[in-house]
Amino acid sequence: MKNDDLDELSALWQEQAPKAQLNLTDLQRKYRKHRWLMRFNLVIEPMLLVIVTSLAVWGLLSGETLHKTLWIAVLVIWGWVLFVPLTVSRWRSFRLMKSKSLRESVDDHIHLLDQEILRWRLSFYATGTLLVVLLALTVWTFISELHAYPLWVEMIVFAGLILLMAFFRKRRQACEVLRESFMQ
Amino acid sequence: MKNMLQGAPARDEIIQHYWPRISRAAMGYEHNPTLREELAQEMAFEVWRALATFSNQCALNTYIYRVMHNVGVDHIRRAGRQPITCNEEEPVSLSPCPERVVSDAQNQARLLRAVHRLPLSLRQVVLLKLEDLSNIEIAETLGISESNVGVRLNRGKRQLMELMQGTTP
Repeated sequence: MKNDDLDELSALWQEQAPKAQLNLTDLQRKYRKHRWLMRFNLVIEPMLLVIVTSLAVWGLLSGETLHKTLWIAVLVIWGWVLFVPLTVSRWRSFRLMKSKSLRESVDDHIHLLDQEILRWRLSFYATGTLLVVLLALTVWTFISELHAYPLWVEMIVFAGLILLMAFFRKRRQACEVLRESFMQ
Repeated sequence: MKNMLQGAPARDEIIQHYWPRISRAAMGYEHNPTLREELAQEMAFEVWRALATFSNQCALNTYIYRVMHNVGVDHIRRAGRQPITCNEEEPVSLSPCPERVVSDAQNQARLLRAVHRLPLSLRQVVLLKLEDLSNIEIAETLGISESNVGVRLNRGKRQLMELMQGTTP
């Protein structure tokens, strides 16, 4: 095959027949399901955060131990820090116009990637702060013998948070590489 | 045209007509065969949805290609992966003339691998040219000038040839 002519490559490219059949009915069903799931998430996620926030406030008012109140309060702040930028990103992503010219939409995607990088970075530092605060609380309760939770529960939480931080970092790096490739 | 496309049967017909092109566009954005099928279906569905709001803002062909490729770019971003790696081999199917079929399939696989290794901006121009779009249509689809299309096309073509020569079948 001669490689110096796009016409020949074009013919070769267009010889490739679709491997699967198109099923629009299935796609429409899938789309309805997806929309339903999105609406469900839209309601459930803020609802969960509001419930946990109310619990934290209730804890503060009803004289729970300082340790427990701090645990919940820090978790609540962490939840909001992760949730708000995620929701903003999601909202902007849904509003992307699919019929825009590709140059415009690549610019939009670069902008979304910038937000995503910022979100992963924010998540990483918020989780790191949560880890430090919880660690300090655990040391404090351990020294003052005020165990609110068994030590193994706290160890699992710490391990989970460390894994989460590694995940956030990896995602941020992947976004940065992707952004570079979009800029080329 | 606007009213005609708001009816589902007319849109179904257009999608069926464009299905081979949609399927090939998906090949340009995803190397994993299973994910590629899903992407093609998603592209088809997004085109089907977008046709309901088509109001002659550009040529229908341009409009459809824009939607297809925008879904492709969105797929790359959502998947969050580097769009370069390509080490999966697809099985070569044999039919009446096995030698020619194998040779064509190998060349197609080589072409696909080379396309995947192109930077996104060049890949889009090359993919549209491989579908026989004119430079004017490519310019409209991408939203860049015709002269810019020419520059990208030359660069894309050169890189594609280099990549194809450097790829083992």
